[in-house]
Amino acid sequence: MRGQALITRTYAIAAAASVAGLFYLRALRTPQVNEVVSGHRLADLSAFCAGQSRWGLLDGPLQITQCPLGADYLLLPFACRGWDVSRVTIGAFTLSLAFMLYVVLMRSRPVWWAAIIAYGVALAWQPGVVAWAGNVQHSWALTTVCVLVGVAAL
Amino acid sequence: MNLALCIVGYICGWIVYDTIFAQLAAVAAVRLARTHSLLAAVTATCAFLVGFVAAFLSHVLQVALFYGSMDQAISDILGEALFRLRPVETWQGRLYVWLPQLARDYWHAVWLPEWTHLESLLLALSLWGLTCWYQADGWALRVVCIPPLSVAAWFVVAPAYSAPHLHLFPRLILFGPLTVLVCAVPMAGGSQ
Repeated sequence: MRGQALITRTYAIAAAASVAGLFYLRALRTPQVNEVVSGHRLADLSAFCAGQSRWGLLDGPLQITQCPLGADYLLLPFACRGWDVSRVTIGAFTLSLAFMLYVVLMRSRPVWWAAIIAYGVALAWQPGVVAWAGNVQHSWALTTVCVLVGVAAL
Repeated sequence: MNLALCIVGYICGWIVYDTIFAQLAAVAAVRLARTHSLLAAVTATCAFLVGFVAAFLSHVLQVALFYGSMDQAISDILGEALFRLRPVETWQGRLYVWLPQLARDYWHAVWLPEWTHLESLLLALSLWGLTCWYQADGWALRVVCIPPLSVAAWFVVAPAYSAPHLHLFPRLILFGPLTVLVCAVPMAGGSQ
Protein backbone atom coordinates (compact mmCIF):
# COMPACT_ATOMS: atom_id res chain seq x y z
CA MET A 1 0.00 0.00 0.00
CA ARG A 2 2.82 2.38 0.93
CA GLY A 3 4.61 1.41 -2.25
CA GLN A 4 1.49 2.29 -4.25
CA ALA A 5 1.27 5.70 -2.53
CA LEU A 6 4.92 6.34 -3.26
CA ILE A 7 4.42 5.51 -6.94
CA THR A 8 1.39 7.80 -7.13
CA ARG A 9 3.31 10.62 -5.48
CA THR A 10 6.23 10.15 -7.85
CA TYR A 11 3.93 10.27 -10.87
CA ALA A 12 2.18 13.36 -9.53
CA ILE A 13 5.49 15.16 -8.94
CA ALA A 14 6.73 14.19 -12.40
CA ALA A 15 3.51 15.32 -14.11
CA ALA A 16 3.30 18.63 -12.22
CA ALA A 17 6.98 19.39 -12.77
CA SER A 18 6.74 18.52 -16.48
CA VAL A 19 3.73 20.76 -17.12
CA ALA A 20 5.22 23.62 -15.09
CA GLY A 21 8.57 23.18 -16.84
CA LEU A 22 6.86 23.28 -20.22
CA PHE A 23 5.05 26.45 -19.19
CA TYR A 24 8.29 28.04 -17.97
CA LEU A 25 10.14 27.26 -21.20
CA ARG A 26 7.30 28.59 -23.34
CA ALA A 27 7.05 31.77 -21.25
CA LEU A 28 10.80 32.36 -21.53
CA ARG A 29 10.59 32.05 -25.31
CA THR A 30 7.54 34.32 -25.60
CA PRO A 31 7.98 38.10 -25.63
CA GLN A 32 6.52 39.27 -22.34
CA VAL A 33 3.96 42.07 -22.15
CA ASN A 34 4.96 44.68 -19.60
CA GLU A 35 2.81 47.73 -20.34
CA VAL A 36 2.72 51.20 -18.77
CA VAL A 37 1.40 50.04 -15.39
CA SER A 38 4.17 47.47 -15.15
CA GLY A 39 6.67 50.21 -15.97
CA HIS A 40 5.38 51.96 -12.90
CA ARG A 41 6.18 48.92 -10.77
CA LEU A 42 9.68 48.68 -12.25
CA ALA A 43 10.23 52.36 -11.42
CA ASP A 44 8.91 51.67 -7.91
CA LEU A 45 11.43 48.88 -7.48
CA SER A 46 14.32 51.10 -8.59
CA ALA A 47 13.23 53.76 -6.12
CA PHE A 48 12.94 51.22 -3.30
CA CYS A 49 16.41 49.90 -4.08
CA ALA A 50 17.70 53.49 -3.98
CA GLY A 51 16.24 53.78 -0.49
CA GLN A 52 13.66 56.42 -1.38
CA SER A 53 10.86 54.98 0.72
CA ARG A 54 9.14 55.99 3.91
CA TRP A 55 6.99 53.51 5.87
CA GLY A 56 7.35 51.19 2.88
CA LEU A 57 5.75 53.72 0.50
CA LEU A 58 7.31 56.07 -1.98
CA ASP A 59 7.39 59.86 -1.97
CA GLY A 60 7.04 62.02 -5.04
CA PRO A 61 5.48 61.14 -8.40
CA LEU A 62 5.89 57.41 -7.83
CA GLN A 63 3.78 57.51 -4.70
CA ILE A 64 0.77 55.24 -4.94
CA THR A 65 -1.17 54.47 -1.81
CA GLN A 66 -4.39 52.92 -3.08
CA CYS A 67 -2.85 49.59 -4.03
CA PRO A 68 -1.01 47.14 -1.78
CA LEU A 69 2.67 46.80 -2.62
CA GLY A 70 3.21 43.21 -1.56
CA ALA A 71 4.47 42.16 -4.99
CA ASP A 72 7.04 44.97 -4.82
CA TYR A 73 8.25 43.69 -1.47
CA LEU A 74 8.49 40.14 -2.83
CA LEU A 75 10.48 41.28 -5.85
CA LEU A 76 12.71 43.69 -3.94
CA PRO A 77 15.51 41.25 -3.01
CA PHE A 78 15.81 40.24 -6.67
CA ALA A 79 15.48 43.74 -8.11
CA CYS A 80 18.18 45.12 -5.83
CA ARG A 81 20.54 42.37 -6.98
CA GLY A 82 19.91 43.38 -10.58
CA TRP A 83 17.91 40.30 -11.54
CA ASP A 84 15.35 40.39 -14.35
CA VAL A 85 12.18 40.67 -12.26
CA SER A 86 10.01 39.63 -15.20
CA ARG A 87 11.73 36.24 -15.16
CA VAL A 88 11.35 36.06 -11.39
CA THR A 89 7.62 36.71 -11.86
CA ILE A 90 7.42 33.91 -14.42
CA GLY A 91 9.24 31.68 -11.93
CA ALA A 92 6.75 32.55 -9.18
CA PHE A 93 3.83 31.70 -11.45
CA THR A 94 5.47 28.46 -12.56
CA LEU A 95 6.09 27.35 -8.97
CA SER A 96 2.51 28.12 -7.99
CA LEU A 97 1.25 26.17 -11.03
CA ALA A 98 3.44 23.18 -10.14
CA PHE A 99 2.29 23.28 -6.52
CA MET A 100 -1.37 23.49 -7.51
CA LEU A 101 -1.12 20.68 -10.06
CA TYR A 102 0.74 18.41 -7.66
CA VAL A 103 -1.80 18.83 -4.85
CA VAL A 104 -4.81 18.51 -7.17
CA LEU A 105 -3.38 15.37 -8.83
CA MET A 106 -2.74 13.83 -5.42
CA ARG A 107 -6.29 14.62 -4.33
CA SER A 108 -8.01 13.33 -7.48
CA ARG A 109 -8.67 9.81 -8.69
CA PRO A 110 -6.37 8.71 -11.55
CA VAL A 111 -9.24 8.84 -14.06
CA TRP A 112 -9.08 12.65 -13.81
CA TRP A 113 -5.34 12.96 -14.32
CA ALA A 114 -5.42 13.21 -18.11
CA ALA A 115 -7.98 16.03 -18.00
CA ILE A 116 -6.06 17.98 -15.35
CA ILE A 117 -2.72 17.60 -17.14
CA ALA A 118 -4.32 18.51 -20.49
CA TYR A 119 -5.66 21.72 -18.97
CA GLY A 120 -2.20 22.55 -17.56
CA VAL A 121 -0.66 22.03 -21.01
CA ALA A 122 -3.44 24.10 -22.65
CA LEU A 123 -2.66 26.90 -20.20
CA ALA A 124 0.90 26.94 -21.54
CA TRP A 125 -0.53 27.52 -25.01
CA GLN A 126 -2.78 30.44 -24.09
CA PRO A 127 -1.18 33.70 -25.30
CA GLY A 128 -3.17 35.67 -22.71
CA VAL A 129 -1.49 33.67 -19.96
CA VAL A 130 1.92 32.74 -21.29
CA ALA A 131 2.78 36.20 -22.67
CA TRP A 132 1.62 37.86 -19.46
CA ALA A 133 3.19 35.43 -16.98
CA GLY A 134 6.16 37.78 -16.67
CA ASN A 135 4.02 40.89 -16.32
CA VAL A 136 5.29 42.24 -13.02
CA GLN A 137 1.99 43.95 -12.27
CA HIS A 138 -0.75 41.54 -13.34
CA SER A 139 0.76 38.06 -13.36
CA TRP A 140 0.34 37.86 -9.59
CA ALA A 141 -3.43 37.68 -9.94
CA LEU A 142 -3.38 34.17 -11.41
CA THR A 143 -0.41 33.19 -9.23
CA THR A 144 -2.44 33.83 -6.08
CA VAL A 145 -5.36 31.78 -7.46
CA CYS A 146 -3.05 28.82 -8.11
CA VAL A 147 -1.55 29.07 -4.62
CA LEU A 148 -5.01 29.26 -3.07
CA VAL A 149 -6.31 26.25 -4.99
CA GLY A 150 -3.25 24.30 -3.81
CA VAL A 151 -3.49 25.35 -0.17
CA ALA A 152 -7.27 24.82 -0.01
CA ALA A 153 -6.81 21.33 -1.48
CA LEU A 154 -4.22 20.27 1.11
CA MET B 1 -6.25 24.38 7.53
CA ASN B 2 -8.20 27.51 8.43
CA LEU B 3 -5.12 29.06 10.01
CA ALA B 4 -3.14 28.33 6.84
CA LEU B 5 -5.85 29.95 4.71
CA CYS B 6 -5.90 32.95 7.04
CA ILE B 7 -2.14 33.39 6.60
CA VAL B 8 -2.35 32.94 2.83
CA GLY B 9 -5.26 35.41 2.82
CA TYR B 10 -3.04 37.92 4.56
CA ILE B 11 -0.32 37.46 1.96
CA CYS B 12 -2.83 37.65 -0.91
CA GLY B 13 -4.28 40.84 0.56
CA TRP B 14 -0.84 42.37 0.35
CA ILE B 15 -0.40 41.40 -3.28
CA VAL B 16 -3.58 42.26 -5.17
CA TYR B 17 -7.18 43.32 -4.51
CA ASP B 18 -8.45 42.79 -8.06
CA THR B 19 -8.54 39.04 -7.68
CA ILE B 20 -10.75 38.83 -4.61
CA PHE B 21 -13.71 37.22 -6.39
CA ALA B 22 -11.56 34.54 -8.03
CA GLN B 23 -9.71 33.96 -4.76
CA LEU B 24 -12.94 33.51 -2.83
CA ALA B 25 -14.18 31.12 -5.51
CA ALA B 26 -10.94 29.13 -5.22
CA VAL B 27 -11.24 28.67 -1.47
CA ALA B 28 -15.01 28.04 -1.42
CA ALA B 29 -15.10 25.62 -4.38
CA VAL B 30 -12.03 23.61 -3.41
CA ARG B 31 -12.97 23.29 0.26
CA LEU B 32 -16.51 22.27 -0.71
CA ALA B 33 -15.06 19.69 -3.08
CA ARG B 34 -12.66 18.35 -0.46
CA THR B 35 -14.98 18.24 2.55
CA HIS B 36 -18.48 17.90 1.02
CA SER B 37 -19.58 20.25 3.77
CA LEU B 38 -21.08 23.66 3.16
CA LEU B 39 -20.23 24.72 6.70
CA ALA B 40 -16.56 23.78 6.27
CA ALA B 41 -16.41 25.66 2.96
CA VAL B 42 -17.97 28.78 4.48
CA THR B 43 -15.65 28.60 7.50
CA ALA B 44 -12.59 28.26 5.28
CA THR B 45 -13.72 31.16 3.10
CA CYS B 46 -14.26 33.30 6.19
CA ALA B 47 -10.79 32.37 7.48
CA PHE B 48 -9.32 33.50 4.16
CA LEU B 49 -11.33 36.73 4.31
CA VAL B 50 -10.13 37.47 7.85
CA GLY B 51 -6.53 37.30 6.64
CA PHE B 52 -7.37 39.38 3.59
CA VAL B 53 -9.11 42.08 5.64
CA ALA B 54 -6.22 42.09 8.13
CA ALA B 55 -3.87 42.80 5.22
CA PHE B 56 -6.13 45.61 4.05
CA LEU B 57 -6.17 47.14 7.55
CA SER B 58 -2.37 46.81 7.76
CA HIS B 59 -2.16 48.68 4.49
CA VAL B 60 -4.48 51.43 5.76
CA LEU B 61 -2.27 51.74 8.85
CA GLN B 62 0.83 51.93 6.67
CA VAL B 63 -0.72 54.71 4.56
CA ALA B 64 -1.83 56.54 7.72
CA LEU B 65 1.75 56.46 9.02
CA PHE B 66 2.96 57.66 5.63
CA TYR B 67 0.57 60.63 5.52
CA GLY B 68 0.58 61.20 9.27
CA SER B 69 -3.22 61.18 9.18
CA MET B 70 -5.74 58.36 9.41
CA ASP B 71 -8.46 60.50 7.81
CA GLN B 72 -6.33 61.11 4.74
CA ALA B 73 -5.45 57.43 4.51
CA ILE B 74 -9.09 56.36 4.65
CA SER B 75 -10.30 58.94 2.14
CA ASP B 76 -7.41 58.06 -0.17
CA ILE B 77 -8.13 54.33 -0.19
CA LEU B 78 -11.92 54.50 0.02
CA GLY B 79 -12.03 57.14 -2.70
CA GLU B 80 -10.34 54.76 -5.10
CA ALA B 81 -12.51 51.84 -3.99
CA LEU B 82 -15.73 53.84 -4.42
CA PHE B 83 -14.58 54.92 -7.87
CA ARG B 84 -14.19 51.27 -8.82
CA LEU B 85 -17.49 50.21 -7.26
CA ARG B 86 -19.44 53.22 -8.41
CA PRO B 87 -22.90 52.62 -9.77
CA VAL B 88 -23.53 53.63 -13.34
CA GLU B 89 -26.13 56.33 -12.78
CA THR B 90 -28.94 53.90 -12.00
CA TRP B 91 -29.21 50.21 -11.22
CA GLN B 92 -31.28 49.79 -14.37
CA GLY B 93 -28.49 51.37 -16.39
CA ARG B 94 -25.96 49.11 -14.74
CA LEU B 95 -27.94 45.92 -15.28
CA TYR B 96 -29.38 46.53 -18.74
CA VAL B 97 -26.74 48.65 -20.50
CA TRP B 98 -23.40 48.57 -18.71
CA LEU B 99 -23.25 44.88 -17.80
CA PRO B 100 -24.39 43.53 -21.19
CA GLN B 101 -21.77 45.73 -22.85
CA LEU B 102 -19.09 44.37 -20.49
CA ALA B 103 -20.22 40.82 -21.18
CA ARG B 104 -20.07 41.46 -24.93
CA ASP B 105 -16.54 42.93 -24.63
CA TYR B 106 -15.25 39.96 -22.69
CA TRP B 107 -17.06 37.43 -24.88
CA HIS B 108 -15.41 39.08 -27.88
CA ALA B 109 -12.06 38.78 -26.09
CA VAL B 110 -12.46 34.98 -25.87
CA TRP B 111 -12.06 34.75 -29.65
CA LEU B 112 -9.09 37.11 -29.96
CA PRO B 113 -5.96 35.16 -30.95
CA GLU B 114 -3.79 37.41 -28.76
CA TRP B 115 -5.68 36.15 -25.69
CA THR B 116 -6.90 32.62 -26.39
CA HIS B 117 -5.57 29.60 -28.29
CA LEU B 118 -8.95 28.03 -28.87
CA GLU B 119 -7.88 24.65 -30.23
CA SER B 120 -5.80 23.63 -27.22
CA LEU B 121 -8.31 25.05 -24.77
CA LEU B 122 -11.27 23.31 -26.38
CA LEU B 123 -9.36 20.04 -26.60
CA ALA B 124 -8.47 20.14 -22.91
CA LEU B 125 -11.94 21.18 -21.84
CA SER B 126 -13.53 18.47 -24.00
CA LEU B 127 -11.43 15.86 -22.22
CA TRP B 128 -12.36 17.43 -18.91
CA GLY B 129 -16.04 17.55 -19.86
CA LEU B 130 -16.00 13.93 -21.00
CA THR B 131 -14.48 12.80 -17.70
CA CYS B 132 -16.97 14.99 -15.90
CA TRP B 133 -19.82 13.33 -17.80
CA TYR B 134 -18.84 9.86 -16.60
CA GLN B 135 -17.36 10.65 -13.17
CA ALA B 136 -18.97 13.75 -11.73
CA ASP B 137 -21.50 13.39 -8.94
CA GLY B 138 -23.89 15.70 -7.13
CA TRP B 139 -21.12 17.44 -5.26
CA ALA B 140 -19.32 18.26 -8.49
CA LEU B 141 -22.46 19.92 -9.81
CA ARG B 142 -22.63 22.11 -6.69
CA VAL B 143 -18.97 23.07 -7.05
CA VAL B 144 -19.45 23.94 -10.73
CA CYS B 145 -21.79 26.78 -9.79
CA ILE B 146 -19.28 28.69 -7.63
CA PRO B 147 -16.75 30.11 -10.15
CA PRO B 148 -19.33 31.41 -12.67
CA LEU B 149 -21.34 32.90 -9.81
CA SER B 150 -18.24 34.65 -8.52
CA VAL B 151 -17.65 36.19 -11.95
CA ALA B 152 -21.29 37.29 -12.21
CA ALA B 153 -21.14 38.83 -8.73
CA TRP B 154 -17.93 40.64 -9.63
CA PHE B 155 -19.52 42.11 -12.74
CA VAL B 156 -22.52 43.33 -10.75
CA VAL B 157 -20.66 44.62 -7.68
CA ALA B 158 -17.67 46.21 -9.35
CA PRO B 159 -18.35 46.83 -13.04
CA ALA B 160 -15.98 49.78 -13.14
CA TYR B 161 -13.17 47.43 -12.15
CA SER B 162 -13.61 45.23 -15.19
CA ALA B 163 -14.51 47.83 -17.79
CA PRO B 164 -11.23 49.68 -18.35
CA HIS B 165 -9.14 46.56 -17.84
CA LEU B 166 -9.58 44.19 -20.75
CA HIS B 167 -6.19 42.74 -19.89
CA LEU B 168 -7.77 41.32 -16.73
CA PHE B 169 -9.68 38.92 -18.96
CA PRO B 170 -7.09 36.15 -19.29
CA ARG B 171 -6.14 36.17 -15.64
CA LEU B 172 -9.33 36.93 -13.81
CA ILE B 173 -12.41 36.65 -15.94
CA LEU B 174 -11.63 33.49 -17.88
CA PHE B 175 -8.61 31.56 -16.70
CA GLY B 176 -8.86 32.29 -12.96
CA PRO B 177 -12.35 30.82 -12.47
CA LEU B 178 -11.71 28.18 -15.15
CA THR B 179 -8.63 26.98 -13.28
CA VAL B 180 -10.65 26.77 -10.08
CA LEU B 181 -13.34 24.79 -11.86
CA VAL B 182 -10.95 22.37 -13.56
CA CYS B 183 -9.19 21.68 -10.25
CA ALA B 184 -12.14 21.61 -7.86
CA VAL B 185 -14.50 19.26 -9.70
CA PRO B 186 -12.09 16.26 -9.81
CA MET B 187 -11.79 16.47 -6.04
CA ALA B 188 -15.56 16.56 -5.53
CA GLY B 189 -15.87 12.95 -6.71
CA GLY B 190 -13.80 11.74 -3.76
CA SER B 191 -10.06 11.65 -3.29
CA GLN B 192 -8.03 8.55 -4.01
